[in-house]
Amino acid sequence: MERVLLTAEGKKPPLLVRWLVSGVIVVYFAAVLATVTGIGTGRFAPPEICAEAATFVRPALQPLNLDSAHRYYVPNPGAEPVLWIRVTHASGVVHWAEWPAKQTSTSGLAHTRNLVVPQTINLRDTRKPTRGEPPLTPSALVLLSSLARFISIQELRSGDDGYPDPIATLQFYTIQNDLITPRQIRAGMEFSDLRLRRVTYLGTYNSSGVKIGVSPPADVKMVDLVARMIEEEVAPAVRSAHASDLQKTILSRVGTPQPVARLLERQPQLIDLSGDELRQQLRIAVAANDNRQSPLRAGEDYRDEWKTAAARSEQEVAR
Amino acid sequence: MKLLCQTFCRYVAILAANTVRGWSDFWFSPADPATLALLRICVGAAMLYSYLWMTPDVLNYVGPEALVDDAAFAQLQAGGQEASPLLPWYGWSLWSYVRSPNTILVFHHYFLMAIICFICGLFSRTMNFILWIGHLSYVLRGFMVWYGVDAMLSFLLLCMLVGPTGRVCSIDDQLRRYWAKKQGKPLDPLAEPPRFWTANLAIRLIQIHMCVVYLCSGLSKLQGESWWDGSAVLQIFMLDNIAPLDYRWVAQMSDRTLSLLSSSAVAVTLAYEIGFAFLIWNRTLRPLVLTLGVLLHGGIGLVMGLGLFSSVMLIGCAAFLNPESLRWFWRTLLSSPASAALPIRS
Repeated sequence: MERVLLTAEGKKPPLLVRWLVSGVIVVYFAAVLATVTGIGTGRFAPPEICAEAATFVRPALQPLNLDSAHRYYVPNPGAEPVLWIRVTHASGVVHWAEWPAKQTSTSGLAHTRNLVVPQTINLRDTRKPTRGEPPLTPSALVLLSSLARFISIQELRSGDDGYPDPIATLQFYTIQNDLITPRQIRAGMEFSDLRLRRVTYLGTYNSSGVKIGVSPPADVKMVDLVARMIEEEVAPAVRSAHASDLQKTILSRVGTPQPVARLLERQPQLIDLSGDELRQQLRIAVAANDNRQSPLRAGEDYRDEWKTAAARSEQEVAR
Repeated sequence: MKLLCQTFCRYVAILAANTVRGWSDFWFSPADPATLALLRICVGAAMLYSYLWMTPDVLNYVGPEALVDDAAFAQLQAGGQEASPLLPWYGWSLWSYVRSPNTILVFHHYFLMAIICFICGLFSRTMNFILWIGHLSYVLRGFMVWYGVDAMLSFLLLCMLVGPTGRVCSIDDQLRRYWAKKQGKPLDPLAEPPRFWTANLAIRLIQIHMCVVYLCSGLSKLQGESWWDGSAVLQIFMLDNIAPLDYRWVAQMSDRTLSLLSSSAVAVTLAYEIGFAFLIWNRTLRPLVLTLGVLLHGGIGLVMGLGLFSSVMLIGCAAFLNPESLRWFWRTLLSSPASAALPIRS
């Protein structure tokens, strides 16, 4: 073999080798073709014969990492989702974690890689009813369970006594980001604005990755989530902090997700509010996506297009 | 009638003969491995960048308590029960057998050394095989954190495995020359560069793959509204999560200007991606298509922060560079302009 490959300098290979290699080439590219045509696009199902062919060649192509459909960044660009995780320790201490957090990623490449995690976990199984929690695919459930174990190790903190305070539960929320429009930027809106974010509850897990507890409704509102975060985690942390502690430091200690931290930086008075008053204020600041109505967006050129695109990508993810 | 049949049969025979000859020439004509050597160096550099940056996080990706830990990986490989249908995952990985964190770190550093050897062209084919197996092991064990660039590297490494990547511009070549000289049969430095059918086969495989990738990407884009209404490129500028720079200044342009610029960029992107598979084979158009590729992928790298992905796509496009042109370019760089003869073919 080595002789055929290396010593045939300046010559075509023997006829038998040509036939054999040609056969391999045809089979190889037929398998690649089956893969690219056999995976649906979200909007359209693949032809049945292609889907069957793709299933047939999958065991051969997957170990070679060639089962990707070779369709990069399609069909519509869209902001990647992120995960917000409410981490409760055995001592009752609660803090938040954001995955991935751009600020804490070791490199841009690591951040890009970590962005794939929420996407993979967010895959929905459309065969199941949509009441309650979103019906994730079986593989997404396995991965979410594994992520719970991973976060339990990564987010382990020491208690007041100096000993590790084990993690009791992790509540996962997926945050879908809508694209900001040029007019919104001109109107002073920031990328981190909570009006561009939608929240979906994914489930509560223990540190062993086992799903537990009674779940809140899947269509949890951003207002309620942020209000709870401020009332139960941020405000007590601010009250118990030393006078010299900066608010930024306190928010970082609580692990407040960046969009919420940014909101509190701009409107620190929210920390002193609670109950209906807090929710009323938050409704103005974060409710656009909860209600799907925003006066700021009215009459904008790009609104409808992007909104349609966002709705479409949502459906694609669901499919 | 008989004449008609004879003419038809003759046509079919000529068609078959020409197809076989064309196929044979396309895949099996011997070629200068200079392009393959360039790909070896560039793919190696991209791998080194990717895995060097991964070093601090390597245990998060392939360690026993990684994002996809041992238990989850075993579950994915086993597939699901009836109650929870889970497609079996056919991935395998050497990391399934190396479980101690310290050993993983040691192997990771060996892998980095193998990449450096591959770039330098030391034991090129062996290193190519090690890199391919190693890369697959990382990708398939990591499961969640790999994206398009890793699929591209997988097929580039697989295709390069076929060809003599270390035949030129490598330590292997220098060693070969050294041994030949020692045995009293020094190689003529002015001799014609060696040609191998395997070099051509490897390059052709990469070229066809690149055409498949671009065509699929381009055609799939046509299913997205934003690629029809021309807002896709503008939307990409508004992606804060991955943008390496602040592009808010873009929004200060008028809607009309934005629409015009975005629509033009969308048209160019679609024309490039869909047209690539057809236009790249034309020797006259090839430099133009490749230049457009550099601009497009440079833009993707700058706007979306996907520098590695853009680089690897451009490395794949480099498979279309003529080896004679590469040698001419190299000679021009090293010698005076007068001594460098312009190649006839582009």
